[in-house]
Amino acid sequence: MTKGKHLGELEQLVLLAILQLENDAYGLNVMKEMQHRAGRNVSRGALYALFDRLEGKRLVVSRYGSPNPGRGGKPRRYLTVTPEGIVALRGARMAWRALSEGLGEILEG
Amino acid sequence: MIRGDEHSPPALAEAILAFCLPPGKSGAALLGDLHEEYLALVEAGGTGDGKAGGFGNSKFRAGAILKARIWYWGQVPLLSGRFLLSRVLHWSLYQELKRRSGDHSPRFGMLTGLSKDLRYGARTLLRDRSFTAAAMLMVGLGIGATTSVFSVVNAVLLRPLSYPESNRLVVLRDMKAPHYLYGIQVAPGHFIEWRSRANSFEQMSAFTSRSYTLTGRGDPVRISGASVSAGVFTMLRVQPTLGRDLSPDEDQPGHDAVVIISHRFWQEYMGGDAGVLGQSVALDGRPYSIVGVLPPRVDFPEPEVELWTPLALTPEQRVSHGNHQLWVVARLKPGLEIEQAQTEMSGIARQLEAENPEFNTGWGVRIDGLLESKVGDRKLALWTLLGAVGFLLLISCANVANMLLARAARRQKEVAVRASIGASPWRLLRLAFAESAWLGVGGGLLGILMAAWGVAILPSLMRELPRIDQVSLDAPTLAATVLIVILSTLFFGTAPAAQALRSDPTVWLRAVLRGSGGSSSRQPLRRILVVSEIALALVLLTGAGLLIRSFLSLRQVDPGFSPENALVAHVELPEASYSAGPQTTDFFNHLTEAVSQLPGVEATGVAFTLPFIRDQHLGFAIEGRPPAEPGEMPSTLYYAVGHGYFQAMGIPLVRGRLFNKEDDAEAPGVVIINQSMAQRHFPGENPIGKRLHLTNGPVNFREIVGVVGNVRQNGLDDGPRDQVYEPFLQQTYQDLDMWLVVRSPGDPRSLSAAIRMKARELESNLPMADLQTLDGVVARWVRERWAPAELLTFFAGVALLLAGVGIYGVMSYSVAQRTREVGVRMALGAEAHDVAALVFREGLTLTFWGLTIGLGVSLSMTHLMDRMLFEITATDPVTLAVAPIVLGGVAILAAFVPARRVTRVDPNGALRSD
Repeated sequence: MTKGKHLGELEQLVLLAILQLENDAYGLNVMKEMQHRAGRNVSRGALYALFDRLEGKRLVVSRYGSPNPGRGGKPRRYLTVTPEGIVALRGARMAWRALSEGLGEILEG
Repeated sequence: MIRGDEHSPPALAEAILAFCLPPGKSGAALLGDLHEEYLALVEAGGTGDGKAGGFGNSKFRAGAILKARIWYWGQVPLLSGRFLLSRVLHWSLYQELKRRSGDHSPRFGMLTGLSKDLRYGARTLLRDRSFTAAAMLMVGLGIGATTSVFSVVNAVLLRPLSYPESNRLVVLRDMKAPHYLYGIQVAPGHFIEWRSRANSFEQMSAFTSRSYTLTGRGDPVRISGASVSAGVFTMLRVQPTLGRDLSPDEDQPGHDAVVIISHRFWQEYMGGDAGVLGQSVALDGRPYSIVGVLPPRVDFPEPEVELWTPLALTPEQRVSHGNHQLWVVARLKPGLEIEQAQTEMSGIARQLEAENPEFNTGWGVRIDGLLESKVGDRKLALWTLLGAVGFLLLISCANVANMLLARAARRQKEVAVRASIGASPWRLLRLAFAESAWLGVGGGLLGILMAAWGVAILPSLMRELPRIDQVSLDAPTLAATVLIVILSTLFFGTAPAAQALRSDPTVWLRAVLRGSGGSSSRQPLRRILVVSEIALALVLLTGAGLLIRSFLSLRQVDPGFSPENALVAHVELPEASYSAGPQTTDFFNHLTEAVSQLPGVEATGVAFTLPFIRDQHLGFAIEGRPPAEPGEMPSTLYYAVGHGYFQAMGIPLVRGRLFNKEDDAEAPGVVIINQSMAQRHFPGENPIGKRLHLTNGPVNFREIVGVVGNVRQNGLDDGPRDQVYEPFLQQTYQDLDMWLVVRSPGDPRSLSAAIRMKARELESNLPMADLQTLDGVVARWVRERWAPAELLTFFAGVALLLAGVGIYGVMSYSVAQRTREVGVRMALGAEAHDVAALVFREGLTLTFWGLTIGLGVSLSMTHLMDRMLFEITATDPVTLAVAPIVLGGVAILAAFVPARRVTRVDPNGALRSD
């Protein structure tokens, strides 16, 4: 396994969703993306706590948009996956591949 | 605060979230996301529905807003719970680190000690989740109910009216014993005399409510208005945003074609035009020139009033002392009390009596505060409700205190150990209070959530209260809630804390080591709590029982007409195109004729006054009887009706005949009286053929041709009163507005469209908005009357449940504590059921004392509700018997379950316990 941080399943999914959304990854969109692509309903509280945790691990960084009247004058928190985050995702993917090798029949059946 | 506009989420919910979420930008971003999603929900609901069309109709939109608000409120517990908990944990961790790193600055010494206690309290509560949840729920229930009802009391009774120094505004009424003790409207002549003679008032004004048909600005519409005397807004201290108040010159007949408009009218019909002054609007077909625009939300005399025109009393009216038609409002001079003004006004009434005995004998003046007079006797119902929820709160607190005491007993070993190794009493007290504090905070938050729901529901149940639309969780209400939470916490926290303070470690440790279950010294306290709970619950149950009984008797009452299958509609002819007289009577004749031809119509009639809707009183004199003393002329309810009226209303004929088409203006004058009048004024005689004169015109005796059943005019609780009916074609003065009553064999609502069409065919400029079923009119009255009873019943039900829970808790605890004793008794040969009986008897004793005290308190308190009762007294034996039986039953059941458990005690196991 390559050097990097271990990721939980939800962490992986959230990082992937952020990458998919490119420049438009903020809370509400990430939640929708998870629902839309992965069929996963994540509670809002869990998701935002996860953002903080990922940021604490330096796997993502936040930047805040300008205050928006359609949001009661509150900014959006946009998330970007850091190079460290990408490394961690790659690590997870490689681990998955290594362990699923030869199991195609079962896993894709 | 709860009611923001639809573009922003509920303000209170947002404030709670803002408090709980992490400070700084990340919390703000989360709030922003919620805001965005809230708007999306509103938009999706308002336009997404195919039925709603492009912009969504307002009903769908309102539904969507409500759904979105509920959704937003749902997020509050989810998010605040999660983030608040993590913040508390972080903070404790930080404090812990600070302590370990040796930061012992004395300033923080006490605080860190406190935080440690709080943390300890939180931990022990979290360990026992079901206890915590039950206790918080109980506190929340009490706080939520109290806060909701308080918010209503605050908005309706306590908050001053929106006018500056509104406590000096008073209402003056004509008063006469015994019928008009609470005052009626004022005769114009009285108003003129009062105004010129009285010195107690800065200013006095009069008004009457009326409505206008606005034409020339889209479809004709009816607009609520008032005729007011000059300077009324100066008196109220309402400064027009544009223009000025009405001047005395304009308050004269012939100069009165001027109008002041409301802010809403200005926006809606005048496009908010700044140059609106001097423009003309057509009201009842007559041009009025706009002289002023009021600021938003002026609710004088009622919130729906949009137009104010001069009262402009005619010279005849200015000297009329008999026609009571004006409302009079005045501003007291600074420093004067109502009593002083009352003394002066009573003197003036005596002067008027001496000058004009014919009309003024016996008449006095009644003065009430403006706010007071708006609320009237509904004040009693509101205070009763507030008292009821106060009792409910006490019961919940007693329950929580009981639960905490039971818990404290379980933990006495720990407390004893703490005390013996040197914890100060102060420290023990703080520890004991820490849990209560958390329960208070948690219960308080839960209570505010419940209250947010309560303030959404309550106004819809009590729609008839003035200012009910202003009910909200505003700052004063929340401040009161915080105070209530603190007091409640002190109440239920004191018992366990006092217990901790009294602890003598040696006694405790000895007791614990002996394993005897410890001191039972807190048992008396717990028993007292249960007895008080039962007593309080009984008072609530008795109150609710009395109201339910009153309501049931009300339901049995025959209104004197049959409300089923009838429709009523208010028809008001435009003043410009109709004058009172043949033209008007022709219209109503044609309308009756046309509607009665409609298929599915059984009977049709018109009337100027209707039961439950509006009334009119007239004096009368019977032919051949000696004339009445001055001021003593008997009065009766008066109805000018069309010939089909009795059939349409379903009022039964008792003797003689009903009116028919031939009873018109040319025919000899006839009247119909009701049974009550026949019995009172013609006892033992046949009234048919006798003649009487009504004071609505010159002396003209009309023959009594029939007697009909009594109709309850002002509600189901209105006693039988004298009633006289006259064919409207024969009345001296015609009215431009009448009520149309239509009866059909089936559902009358299916006729609405056809009736509207017929009316429009006859007069295209006819706004006919008010079509309602007669059933609905009665049902609305019942609903308004029943709302406080319904709420009180609900609260009493909750109290019953809580009292049951309370007694169950004490009995279970007592059984658990006495397991060893029970074991010994059974080992010594006692039968299981003997022991069970012993425990059960304890429950019975508590119940007995609770019921006895509760009955005593009920007897001394329920008479306060006398005026809310119908056909029963506050000492109604049925209620006073049934309420204790119900509560006793619940209490016995609650005591029986733990008592039964005793029979299953295994003596061997019990002896070995501890």
